[in-house]
Amino acid sequence: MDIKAYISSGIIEACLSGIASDEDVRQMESLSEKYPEVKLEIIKVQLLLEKWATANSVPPPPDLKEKIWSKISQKDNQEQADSLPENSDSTNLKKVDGKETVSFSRWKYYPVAAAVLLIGISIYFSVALYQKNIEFQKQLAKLEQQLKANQDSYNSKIALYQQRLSALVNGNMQGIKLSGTEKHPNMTAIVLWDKKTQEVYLSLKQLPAPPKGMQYQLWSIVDGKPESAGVYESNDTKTALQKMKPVSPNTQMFAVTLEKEGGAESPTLSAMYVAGKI
Amino acid sequence: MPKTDFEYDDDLVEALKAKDRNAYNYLYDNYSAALFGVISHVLGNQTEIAEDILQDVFVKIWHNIETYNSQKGRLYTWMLNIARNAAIDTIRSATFKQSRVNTTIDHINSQNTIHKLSDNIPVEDFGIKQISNLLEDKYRILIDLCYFKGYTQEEVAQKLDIPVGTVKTRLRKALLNLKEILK
Repeated sequence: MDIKAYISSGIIEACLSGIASDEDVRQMESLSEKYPEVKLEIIKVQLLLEKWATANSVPPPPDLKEKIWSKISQKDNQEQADSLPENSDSTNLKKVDGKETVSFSRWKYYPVAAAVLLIGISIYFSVALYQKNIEFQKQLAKLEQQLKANQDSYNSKIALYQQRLSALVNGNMQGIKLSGTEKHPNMTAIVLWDKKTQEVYLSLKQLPAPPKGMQYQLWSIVDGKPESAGVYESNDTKTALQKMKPVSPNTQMFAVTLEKEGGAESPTLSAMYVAGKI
Repeated sequence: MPKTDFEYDDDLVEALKAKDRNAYNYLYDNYSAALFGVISHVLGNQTEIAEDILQDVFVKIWHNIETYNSQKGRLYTWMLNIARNAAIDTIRSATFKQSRVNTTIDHINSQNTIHKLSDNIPVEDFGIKQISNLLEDKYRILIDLCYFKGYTQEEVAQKLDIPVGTVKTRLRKALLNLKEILK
């Protein structure tokens, strides 16, 4: 079905303005289930006609509000009263030739039988529905639990990111680009160094994920000597910006090496990936 | 503290189903003018009848709220349709036809005469407000026939002397035009 053509034909506007046939409306409803573009268009046209109605508002006389309410509540009470059962006799007393006879009308039992049958059927369905309802309630509770769990984890993630972001967005940040070594020429990494607090953040976006049992380690070189600034914990080098250990203000250079899990005492120079001078 | 303000349709529908008075108040305060506007537009100058219809409409909304299905459409639209249909049913009823005063609009309502509408219709009879005057005549007439008079596509096509397909595409154009004005 060419949905674009369907929408531009104006059939949706026709359906919602009441000039289309029931069949057209049915077709539109089934298409809206299938095609979100149709559903969207339907909502748009509804909103438009609603806006039009609002623009052409005419305030009714003020006394109508109470009047209508009393009419509504009157009907509510009437419905309640109507639903009370009436008593009816199944026997008739007839006066025939002076004698009183009781004529037994069998026909009057048919509606009773029908009612009993209907009640029986409806009880059956009520029970079935009740059980189904319990099932749904269980599923709903489960889903709600899952949703809450997801939300909690998202919320804590968001809190963490917000914290990170506020830490990063301050005037003291210096960015240092680490370039690839001879063995890994095209690699890069970024160190963000807060000159005030000496805190350091490491981003390893360009580097490949470390093999099992290995981790990247950040070093800061001070007076020619390497000091460990911590191990990059996250397995996901693509997205994480990790806070490392604070470094000496006299750091002259940063480097990243690949070490055994847990890190090393001193850097394995042959496993250096990137480095950068201040 | 019972809820008196219903920001979301769902909450309002729930409260209506529970026969909550606050829901009625909210409904009346926020929607009665729009509904009355539609009814008045269909009825012309017959305010007393329009008031009766508004009452019937609220009763209908209140008592049929269980049948409202949000999958099929918005609540506001559902209510507008109830109002529109009630008004159109009235103008088409035999009793109404007997009692009405002969105005230009009646010529349009009559099934027997086919008029070229562009000549006959005085703009004031519609009672439309200023905003709608910005809408081109041919679009306004079309929206009026389609939405407020209860005709079918074929009847409208006949009255305007245009093909049925054109009725739909022109109606779409009219509503797009309206969207620009209402922005």
